[in-house]
Amino acid sequence: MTSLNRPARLNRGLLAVLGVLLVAAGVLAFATHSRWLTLLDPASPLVPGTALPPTWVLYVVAVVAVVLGLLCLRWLLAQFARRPKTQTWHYETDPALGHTELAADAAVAPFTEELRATEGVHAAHATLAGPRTSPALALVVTVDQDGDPRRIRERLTEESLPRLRQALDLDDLPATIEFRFSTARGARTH
Amino acid sequence: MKRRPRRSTAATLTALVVLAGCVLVTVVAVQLIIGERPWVSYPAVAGALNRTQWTNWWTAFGAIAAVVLGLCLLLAAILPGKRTVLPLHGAPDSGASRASYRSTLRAAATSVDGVSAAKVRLGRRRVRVRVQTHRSREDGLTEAVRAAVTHRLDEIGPVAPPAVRVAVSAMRST
Repeated sequence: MTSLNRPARLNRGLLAVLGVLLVAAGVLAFATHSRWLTLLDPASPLVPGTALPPTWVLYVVAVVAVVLGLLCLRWLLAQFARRPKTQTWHYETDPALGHTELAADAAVAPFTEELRATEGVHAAHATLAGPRTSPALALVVTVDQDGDPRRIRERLTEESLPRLRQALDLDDLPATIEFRFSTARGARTH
Repeated sequence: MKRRPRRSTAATLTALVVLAGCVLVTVVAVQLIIGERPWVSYPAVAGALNRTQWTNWWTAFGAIAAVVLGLCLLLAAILPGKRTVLPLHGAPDSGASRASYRSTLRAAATSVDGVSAAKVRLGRRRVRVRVQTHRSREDGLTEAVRAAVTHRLDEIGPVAPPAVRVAVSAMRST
């Protein structure tokens, strides 16, 4: 399933793994300290000697630290990728006659423009995520203080969404709408 | 549609700490390989660890600190947290962002004539609105604020419509 709340799953997963590692290490150390666990001799020092390790160990340590550091950078960068993942769709009825490719994200641009022009809508973003077989439309609509979310939603379900489904040649297009409210008042048209 | 916190703060902090550790370890390892004077003296660290036994209370302190920190990370990962998007009634699946939901209710309360400031607290079943007024007579103000907030709530249509409680306090004129 396409995640609509990136990067929550990644963050929670990695935090859980690191948490379990830290707890396990702490429990082992404490068990050895209080002589419940004698896997290591509690009377022995934490490290056996003070001599410098062989050079190859230093190389291995450096490489492992660089890889871990790069993974951390990747994790940090993932915090900025909040929109659901979009893909390129392929339409192929007969490969001999060629095929059509459609960047799913670009396909919703006219729909977004239309949504922005709707009365009561302050701003709007749309992301068409997932493969063509199971698409998901994620909308973020910012509503004016005097805008009515019910009416915006009605207009979406009755006019805009069926038209978009037809344009994309889809039988079903599950949509989610996140409403945000702006305290600015919209331009009065009447 | 509901949405729970992404735990971005905890993730960013953890990633930064681990990254800093990785940078330090890499630099020291490379300095030892090429024979430079390392940032952290290897004999000093190894000597300190070599002098410390498992039975030392420093070991217990470190172990307890690791367990506490690990539990904090685990809780951040497991606890669902306060919803950041509240579910709304009707199709298609929709929700309202919590922060702006509060601000739009506050704006609705402030729009009532006679209200000079408003504060809104969101509960699971109740919305508490505190308004301040310059008026000396507060007749009808409570009802007017409740009507304005309830009207906005009706427009938004949360799955579980909260009860609206209004408290009016007069501002002291100095």
